[in-house]
Amino acid sequence: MKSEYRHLTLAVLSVILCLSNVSAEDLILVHEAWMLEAPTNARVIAGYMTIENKSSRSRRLIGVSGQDFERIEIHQTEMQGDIMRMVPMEELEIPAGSAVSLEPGSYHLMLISPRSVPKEGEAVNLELQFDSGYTMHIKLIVRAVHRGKTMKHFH
Amino acid sequence: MKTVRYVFPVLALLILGIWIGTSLKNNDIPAPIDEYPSATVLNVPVPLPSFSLTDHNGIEFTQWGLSRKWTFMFFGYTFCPDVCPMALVDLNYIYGNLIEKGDLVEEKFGVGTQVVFISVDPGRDTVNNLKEYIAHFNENFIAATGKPDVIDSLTRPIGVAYRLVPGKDPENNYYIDHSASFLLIDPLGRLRAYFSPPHKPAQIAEDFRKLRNKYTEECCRTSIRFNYIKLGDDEEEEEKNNEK
Ligand SMILES: [Cu+2]
Repeated sequence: MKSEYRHLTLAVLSVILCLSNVSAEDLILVHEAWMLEAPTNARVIAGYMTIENKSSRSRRLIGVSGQDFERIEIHQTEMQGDIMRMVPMEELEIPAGSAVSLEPGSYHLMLISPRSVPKEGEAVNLELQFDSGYTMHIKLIVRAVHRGKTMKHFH
Repeated sequence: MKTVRYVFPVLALLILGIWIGTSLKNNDIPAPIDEYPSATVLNVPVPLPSFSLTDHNGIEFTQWGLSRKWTFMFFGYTFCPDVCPMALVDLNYIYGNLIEKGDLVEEKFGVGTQVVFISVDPGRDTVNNLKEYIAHFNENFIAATGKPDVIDSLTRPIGVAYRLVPGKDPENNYYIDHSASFLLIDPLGRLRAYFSPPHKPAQIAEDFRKLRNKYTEECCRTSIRFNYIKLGDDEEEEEKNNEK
């Protein structure tokens, strides 16, 4: 009887541990991570994506790194009248149960000093660090500038 | 009995209300139809000053480069990661839309369309930088820059603002806040309209066609000469050019 209880407790405990693992890692989702194919001499490139927080706790993106870049910052483009300002941010909050879009003219990752500028169709690896201690590995797909003819607009 | 007593005043009020309502509606000035949803059009076009910049091929680019063309002009810098690349993608869309419909060159007067990107960051944007940068977006686009005082003399009269802002990054130690509007310069070198962000390129292309239909003729047929605000010692040169 006693050992049966112990087994049950262990089972419950392991399920709980499992769940908490899941909540730490899998409840943050990143969709549509991309960057615009940049000129070969670009010194800075913007990275875009949607970060979704499916957990019941607010999460903050506190840092981003990638081996292909010297450093990466979180920025926001702000419009003041018709003037576009770029404002560096220490962190980006993803409230519980919601998604934040990093997109042109808004939040973006500022990828500084690329070791080489990636081409259309290539992918770059980035690590997103969250305040929970969780590091997420993602791939940013490079999209092309369509020259000379009508192209899909990204907005 | 009590209810009946109230019926008349209530009815009267209701009729009065309807009467006021309809009379207000009749007096309503019809809402103006926005003829150009993406553009702000100047009633009186503003002539650009004379200027001398250097283009991406190292060739001088002056106000005469705007003559007999419609020009989309955009001010930015190549270290700009978000706004400038997307603006150039939008301008490329507009340019591509004109090519696709076969009207990059206006039919009646043969007036072409060009896109000019002016860097407000001459400290970092060299001719070679500009060449590689602009060709990435469209090989037909022109990129130009020049001395800070020349850039300022060009931006100030047409309301384009920019300012240097220190960044966190020690290597590239400043960013530039800048106007993100597309300026539309007419074939006489005058600011005729601007397109403010956020840009909707398909709408801009449509509005541009309408503006071009309306204003090309006055630029080509009248006795108005290609003119610009004179800046001191250019007067002689202007006379020479007008004689040509
Ligand atoms: Cu930025």
